[in-house]
Amino acid sequence: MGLNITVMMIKRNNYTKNGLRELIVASSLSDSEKNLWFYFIDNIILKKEEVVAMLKTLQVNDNTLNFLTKNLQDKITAMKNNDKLVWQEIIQVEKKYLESNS
Amino acid sequence: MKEGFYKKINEEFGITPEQQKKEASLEDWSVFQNLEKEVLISSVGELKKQNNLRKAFMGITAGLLLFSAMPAFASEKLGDLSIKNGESSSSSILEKSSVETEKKLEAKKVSFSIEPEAANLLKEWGYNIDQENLIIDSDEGFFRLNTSGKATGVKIVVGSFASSFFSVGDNKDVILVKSIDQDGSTEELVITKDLFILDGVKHNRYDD
Repeated sequence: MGLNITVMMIKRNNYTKNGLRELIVASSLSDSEKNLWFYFIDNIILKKEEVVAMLKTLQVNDNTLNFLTKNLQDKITAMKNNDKLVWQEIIQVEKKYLESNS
Repeated sequence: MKEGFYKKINEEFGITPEQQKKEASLEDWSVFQNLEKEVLISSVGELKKQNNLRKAFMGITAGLLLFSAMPAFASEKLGDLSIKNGESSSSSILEKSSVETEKKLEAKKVSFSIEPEAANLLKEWGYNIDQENLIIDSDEGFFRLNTSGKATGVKIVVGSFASSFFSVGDNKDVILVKSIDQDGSTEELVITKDLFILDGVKHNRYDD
């Protein structure tokens, strides 16, 4: 078996944090980006419906995963610095992405 | 924030609801969250406020907000996340992650091909092929095909299978998903009507 392609199967009913973790593991994110998600998944309490929403969204394509990774990174920085200007910029980017994907 | 949410935190971290409410009601955090909620709902409209992408955005915010507000994970914990993030400046993070995302998208362009016979067979077995996103989808689950390393593409063909290693039951037809690289093709995934073999392990398609 070569290692040039990664294949993963996600069961439809695996809408859990573990399912989210599996999806991140199989993604093309860098190791540091994956670690950020693992830290987020392991330490942050998410509602079931939020986990389901993330999984359904991330199943669409890698562009969405890349976008949400950047979104997570940017929000951490904005909150850490109490930076409302950056926060507003993040939201405008979210809005554009949401409109282009609705 | 709903009472049940606080109750869950309380149970998990031994924090009283009063402590949690006090921390989570910090004005700045509320402003952050409310601004996002208003903008996104105005964007997708009330009827679509259950949109999964919007929920994902809000879920990240709610999670970070609670994470930063919890006494057990005091606000400096956001600094830990920043360290995981490998960044320190808000302006550089926006610039750098944008460039990295573009590079990643550029790097992910791979070829995809599927034999007509393989496409027909997969369709007959209840699979849909999303060629653009390299996803083989069914009611029971889906395969994501992520190429890396030397792989430049994915090829899906009808093939034979060495049943001396795995019994495939009455399934005589198999689908082989191959990676394509400069050194030749490598079979990574075998799909039959009722099972699939991934990394040398046989799985029943219908098992939970």
